Amino acid sequence: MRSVCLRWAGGLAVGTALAAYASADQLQDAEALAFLQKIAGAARQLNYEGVFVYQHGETVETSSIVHMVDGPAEHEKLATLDGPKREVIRHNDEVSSYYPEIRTVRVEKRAAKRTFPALPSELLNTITEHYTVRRHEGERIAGFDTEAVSLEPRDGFRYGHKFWSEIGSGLLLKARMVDGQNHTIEMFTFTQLKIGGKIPLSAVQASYAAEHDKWKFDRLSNNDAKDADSGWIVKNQPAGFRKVYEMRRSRPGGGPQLLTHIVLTDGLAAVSVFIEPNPASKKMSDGPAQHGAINIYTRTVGEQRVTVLGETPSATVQQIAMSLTPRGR
Amino acid sequence: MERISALMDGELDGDEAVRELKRCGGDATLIEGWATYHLIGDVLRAEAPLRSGFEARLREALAAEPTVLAPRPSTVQRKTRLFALSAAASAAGVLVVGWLAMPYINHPAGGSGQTGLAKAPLSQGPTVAEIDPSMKEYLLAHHESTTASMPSVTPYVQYAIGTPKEGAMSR
Repeated sequence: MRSVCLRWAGGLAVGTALAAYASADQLQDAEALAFLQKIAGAARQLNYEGVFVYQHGETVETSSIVHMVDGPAEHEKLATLDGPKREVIRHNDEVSSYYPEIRTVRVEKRAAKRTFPALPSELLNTITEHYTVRRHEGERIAGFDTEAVSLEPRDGFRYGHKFWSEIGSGLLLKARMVDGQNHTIEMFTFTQLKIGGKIPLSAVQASYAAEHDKWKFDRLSNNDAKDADSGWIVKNQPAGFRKVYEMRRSRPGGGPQLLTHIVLTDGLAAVSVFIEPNPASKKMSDGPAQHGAINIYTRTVGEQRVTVLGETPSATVQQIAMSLTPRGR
Repeated sequence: MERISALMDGELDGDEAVRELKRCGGDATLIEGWATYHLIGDVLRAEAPLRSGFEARLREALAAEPTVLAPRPSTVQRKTRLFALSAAASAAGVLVVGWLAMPYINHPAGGSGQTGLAKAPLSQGPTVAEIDPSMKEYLLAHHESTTASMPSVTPYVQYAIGTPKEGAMSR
């Protein structure tokens, strides 16, 4: 093990990206799925604590994470290490965000078990229809040896991905999303990590527990989100994108008005659709827009404003926006 | 509450706004609602009070100034160092004014928010000239509800860090 690490440290210095691509093997569908399922499971089933860097555009942010599994229960604590202090505590599907400088806690029930790690396997199953999965040589990350796969999109409606996971456990140590020119859109890398071992419950509790009963609690978020038929249908979305849920929810920033929120995914890329009555003040103009890695397309249909956004190429959100139709028209 | 929200968004005309403000003044629930909406708005826009980023920049300004003058003779250096400090202090004054006038310029995450996004390699595509509050809410709701590519971790990263980031592009 030791010598393997040393060899890798040397190998890294030489820089073997090209060689890695040359030796990349395309995986059979079943192998690719097994790899992705292992990654998805590991993130939920393992105890781990570490520090990771999240990079998007030219911005780099560092956070610490502790993940602890206690029987069927999952606990997670995420804390920012630079910029403004933020702490996010998750107990199963309840997520609390702490904003110490304004003494506010946002509490939210997340729609349970619907996110990528727990996606129904039929969603993962079709990933290979839309991405070519190749195995690459791993690299040493945060002191661990990894194995790597890339997922190259088969069309222009999604970005490419590369995942590095720890060889033994399958825990994802690095993930990179790239555009069609192989530019990094966003990247996440552990810089320090401990996998396994006992983690006390106190390590996944908020640092502000002693005082936060004096803080402001904001439960205005989507606690009241309900599965609902919005009366809208998506007729002609890019291949592979399926609706995973549809709900009426309150606005994250508060306010009494409910809006329709539909989420479509191809198993990796997620696109949100928001529909609400066109507000009197027309601050947003129709058409394409962009925010960091997210592409946005806004369109007015009758009295309704439709906004589609996601970490996908612009063409994807535009096509989804254009294919949304109120039922019965 | 809906009218308070409209008032905050500047969607009421003069008379309506005056009526709404009067109504607010006499109702504790509405005053509380007003405060809460503003607080949430501030969090979304990351307009909470001065924090570490500002102090760090001030420290950097202070640290950077004397370096330029280092080769000079020591007597002059002492004199100029005082000047340097006051120059840094006035630079800080400018920063404070800038902060008050345009909160998004002095973004807490090292001020990288706006320029960073503007220079992002993706920006050859369409750009957002203006992100209005409801777009920020959409972005937040999207991050809360989806995980995109990175199992388990990313949604919380963006949830934790993305909030002020969206504020960085406000108005």
